[in-house]
Amino acid sequence: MPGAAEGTRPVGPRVVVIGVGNSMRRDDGAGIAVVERARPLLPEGVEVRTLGGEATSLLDAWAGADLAVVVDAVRWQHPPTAGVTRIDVTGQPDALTGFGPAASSHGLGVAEAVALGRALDRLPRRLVLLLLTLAEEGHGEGLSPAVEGYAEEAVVLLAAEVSTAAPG
Amino acid sequence: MTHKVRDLTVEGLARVEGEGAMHVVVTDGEVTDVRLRIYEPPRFFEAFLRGRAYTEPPDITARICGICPVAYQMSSCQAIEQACGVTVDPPLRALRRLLYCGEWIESHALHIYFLHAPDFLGVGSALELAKDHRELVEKALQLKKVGNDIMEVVGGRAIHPINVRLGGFYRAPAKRELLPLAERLRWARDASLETVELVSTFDFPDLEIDHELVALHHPDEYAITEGRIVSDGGLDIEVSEFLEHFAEEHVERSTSLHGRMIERGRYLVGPLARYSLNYEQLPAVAREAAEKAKGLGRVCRNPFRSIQVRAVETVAACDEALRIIEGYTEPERPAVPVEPRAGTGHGATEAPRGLLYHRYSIDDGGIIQTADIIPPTAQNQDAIEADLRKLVVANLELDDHDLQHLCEQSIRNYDPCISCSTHFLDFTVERR
Repeated sequence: MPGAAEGTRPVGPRVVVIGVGNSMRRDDGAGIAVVERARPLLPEGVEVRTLGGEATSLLDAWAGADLAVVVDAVRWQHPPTAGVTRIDVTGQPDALTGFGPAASSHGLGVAEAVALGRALDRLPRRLVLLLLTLAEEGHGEGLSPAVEGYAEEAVVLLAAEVSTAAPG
Repeated sequence: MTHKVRDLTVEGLARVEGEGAMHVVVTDGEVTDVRLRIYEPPRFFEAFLRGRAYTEPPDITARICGICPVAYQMSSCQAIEQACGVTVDPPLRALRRLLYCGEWIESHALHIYFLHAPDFLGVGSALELAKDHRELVEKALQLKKVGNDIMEVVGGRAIHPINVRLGGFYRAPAKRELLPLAERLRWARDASLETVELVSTFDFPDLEIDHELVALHHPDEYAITEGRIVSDGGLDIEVSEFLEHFAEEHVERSTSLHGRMIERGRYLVGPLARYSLNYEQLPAVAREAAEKAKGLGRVCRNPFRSIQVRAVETVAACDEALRIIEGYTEPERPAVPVEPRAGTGHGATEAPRGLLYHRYSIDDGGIIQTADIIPPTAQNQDAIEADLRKLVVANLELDDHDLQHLCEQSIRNYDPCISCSTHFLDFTVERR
């Protein structure tokens, strides 16, 4: 079964794909939409998770992974900004230095998760972020036309990223 | 007249689960306005639920909050089951309470160590805490994970549990699935006791609030999943009477409604109220920890000490979860059938941050006609604003940066559903 849940993974690199967001908050659900759309394309054994984005849950989700790809929607307050941004956290350790703290309800966000993971030696061997720029942040289901326009690109990028490490 | 307007904006990677802003107006050295703007989702969900099937609210409302989905599931189940005239079997009730304990452990561990403790330990964030007090953060992560794991085993997954349905669960766990949690809960209870000791060494600013305290109360247990609504002002009502005693007022600057007690005014829900009204119902181990907690007492009206109360409640939740697992027998059926019938039902449970009320009216085909969701943050907003006003008046000499930090600290006491995990999204001081 493609995109299998935990427990069915064959021996080999452990790959975790994590969609972050809330599918009832329009484009904030982009990360979840992308991993769900990519699920049939992913090799057997790849773990697929969907999370709200709270930092410590991310630390648990990617614990022990050889590769973790986190797909999330973000709001940039400075350019660049549209489309999909790929950040190789492992290869570009300073890439998140300029990010401010998350404006989450009562938790910490993805940037803090990366920083905490680094401080506590709880990062996966390789961590890649695929960040889709938010266009609409209201309540409700469904992505905005703008984000729909590049969600497919994110699906392709995700599948390609996983193929670099996935078993089989 | 000179005007000084400062607009501080959080930059970069931002989640959008909730947003908040605070605006302070100072005129000729006097605080003339303190406004906390909160954007909350329940209004949207109330509209979204109209016309949906009566079986859907547990799944839909779980998406209101990523930190306390179980609270929304449990309040909605309770309300719709009441409307349909259904009472769940005792083993299913126990299983629900176990699931809720998992959420309390997770939410309280997160708040105590990652959001609140940095304020008292003189570090700017959880990240600095991880660098300076790594052992504390490791312990916090382990403690939180015990709560997560309860939610995974009972709820199907930790974020937005999928095993909850009207009448009970889609599948009841086998005892052998729960037993591995018992050993870890014993550790978690000890870790929580150490947490009470740790946070009791903190220096707490002096602040006494006079808001009426409101919480669920159950004579035989620390109220989480059910009870009567009581207050320290003598209120003692059924959950179904809630709207006769509490009202929400629309405030122009906020999409959330401000809760008021009819003819009584401002009130407070959450850990301080729960603890002060239910001290006698705490499990013995938690009550003993509270007795030893320096400065806490049996009634707590200092919101800065809410970290002590959360720690005591974590002990209680671990102990209660352990008791339920040890006494667990697999239920004969995972859920009681819930057939629709025309009616109205009310539900209230204690979310980690306070009383969460739901009310649904459904028709005889099970279609939802109206929905009311009154979350703790809306109920507490008036009290939080009152505290902030006091705080700003008393600390007007501070510069904007320090004033912002102090206000954020104060808001963190209540852990409201707004964007205040580390900084406000938008904080403005207007000095005229």
